[in-house]
Amino acid sequence: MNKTNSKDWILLLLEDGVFHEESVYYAINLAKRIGCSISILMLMANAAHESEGLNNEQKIVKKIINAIKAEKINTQAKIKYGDKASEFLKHLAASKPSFAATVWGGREEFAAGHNFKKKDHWFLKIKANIQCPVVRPAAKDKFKPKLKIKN
Amino acid sequence: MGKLKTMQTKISVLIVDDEEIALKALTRILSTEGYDVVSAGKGEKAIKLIHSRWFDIILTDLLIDTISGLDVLEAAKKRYPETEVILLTGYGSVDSAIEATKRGAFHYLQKPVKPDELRNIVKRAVEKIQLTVKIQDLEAGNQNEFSSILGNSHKITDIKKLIWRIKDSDSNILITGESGTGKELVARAIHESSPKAQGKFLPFNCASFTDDLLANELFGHEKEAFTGATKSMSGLFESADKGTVFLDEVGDMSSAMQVKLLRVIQEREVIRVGGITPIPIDIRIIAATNKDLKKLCSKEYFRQDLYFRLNVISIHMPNLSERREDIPLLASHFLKLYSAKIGKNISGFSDEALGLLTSYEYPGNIRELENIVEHAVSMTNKQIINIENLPKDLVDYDLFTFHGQDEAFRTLAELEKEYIRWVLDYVGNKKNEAAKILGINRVSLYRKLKRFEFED
Repeated sequence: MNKTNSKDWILLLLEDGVFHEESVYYAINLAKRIGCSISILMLMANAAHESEGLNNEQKIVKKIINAIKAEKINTQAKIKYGDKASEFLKHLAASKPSFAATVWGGREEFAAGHNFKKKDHWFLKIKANIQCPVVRPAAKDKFKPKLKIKN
Repeated sequence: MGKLKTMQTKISVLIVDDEEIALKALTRILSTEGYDVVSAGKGEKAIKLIHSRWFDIILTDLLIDTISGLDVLEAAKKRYPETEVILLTGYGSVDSAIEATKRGAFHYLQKPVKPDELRNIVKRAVEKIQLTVKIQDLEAGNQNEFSSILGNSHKITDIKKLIWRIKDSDSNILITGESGTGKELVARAIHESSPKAQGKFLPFNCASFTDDLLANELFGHEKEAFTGATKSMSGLFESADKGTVFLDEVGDMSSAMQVKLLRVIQEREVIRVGGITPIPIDIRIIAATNKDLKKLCSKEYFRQDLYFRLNVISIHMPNLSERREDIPLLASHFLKLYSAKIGKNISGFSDEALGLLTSYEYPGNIRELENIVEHAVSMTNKQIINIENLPKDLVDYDLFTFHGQDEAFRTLAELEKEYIRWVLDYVGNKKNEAAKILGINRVSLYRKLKRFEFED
């Protein structure tokens, strides 16, 4: 089942030193299913300076790398500081081959389809340049009423 | 297109004329010719008949009563565009008859009708119908030729038809589509049905190599062209002579390599690395990409002249989520494949499992579906794949998906066309059933389908 030393990559996109567990979990499973490696990109608006050791985003990326490696999946990671839209585009342009899919592990704005809750979200400015599917997994609504089946 | 009757059945003819003697005479002539003839003395009856059943040919007087022959023509063409309509005109109404032929009538006959002339014109209409049936049968038959391309959805059927239509050509082809949509499978099917089928089919991924390695792989090298080149070697283009080269991820090629590829296409020759002698080649190039090359051209990341050379014929592979109606067929194909491979006797999927498989978004497309089914087959000990045999993240998560290629807003007309085709695919092209689901009558559905055909 493990075909993850492939030439193909999926991108796990994170923002501002936070991540969603379900995105990481889903990215690992998707990578296993389609035989891809995982490229992690953490986009940061500003650089945080720690007096010593790893800063917060580095710690998080390291934790995710370890989780991915534990599943025997090839991985690489980058942290980019500055304008998120342009850093993201630069990363896409520099990546060969292009990503088979992007798993959105960034902030919550990416909801359904083309809709972002904030209309001025950076992703909206560049979405026309994204040429692979972008997916955001979210736990199914546990409060959704279940269908009652009559016997 | 509506389905024409096969030629094993009798040709059905509707004759419409308010002159009783003429109606009887025409009916007698065509009945003795072996046609299945129905007659109508009133326009209203004719329209009702048209709405109640299929006719291959309609022979109608131009001037009937309150309803004219043109109304009959319009009603017939709306309902069954393939029905051939012949108009009968009196002296002085030839202009109207000519007008009618512009609106789709097969021909017109001047009254009083000569029996031989009638037989002849009806025979010609039958020949046209038979030809159309042959084309339809041929298209259906040839779609079956591409059995490796699984699916009966409208989008896949159109791709199979296109492959069949271009089978005698050796023009370059550009296949676009997301990863895992089956671009190489289609390229192989094109090659196997092409004039170059006897030659090799050599697939190559352009994104996997640096420029130097790419040049070496594609063009080959001469002895001592670089350190370690102890003997000369032919490249992919030379090896594929008289065959097809499939260049995957062509959008990831550097500018320098694009120039070299363009030269190969234009000059139909290659020069090995370190060589000076051009070697003539006769190859077809099928290129593929998951990128929007047109957009890359506008930003000057991809050469426009190369784009035009590659994109002589273009094929777009739909995402699996755009052809959900094919998922049960694909899933069952992979189920058979892996059950046999693993040595298990699994007969199918539970409704719940199939429901989940059909509703999932598949960012990894067919490749992902195949892996999910392979995994499920290895996990189950029962004869049926249940939901607990499917990956947990499919059960636990909803997936919000954005596909880059369709960021442009679509018009209501485009959505309508797509939805109608989806419903038709879903109900197996049964027009009555589709019309009921869509909440419109059959006539409106036919009218819309006719319009889509025109737009396509």
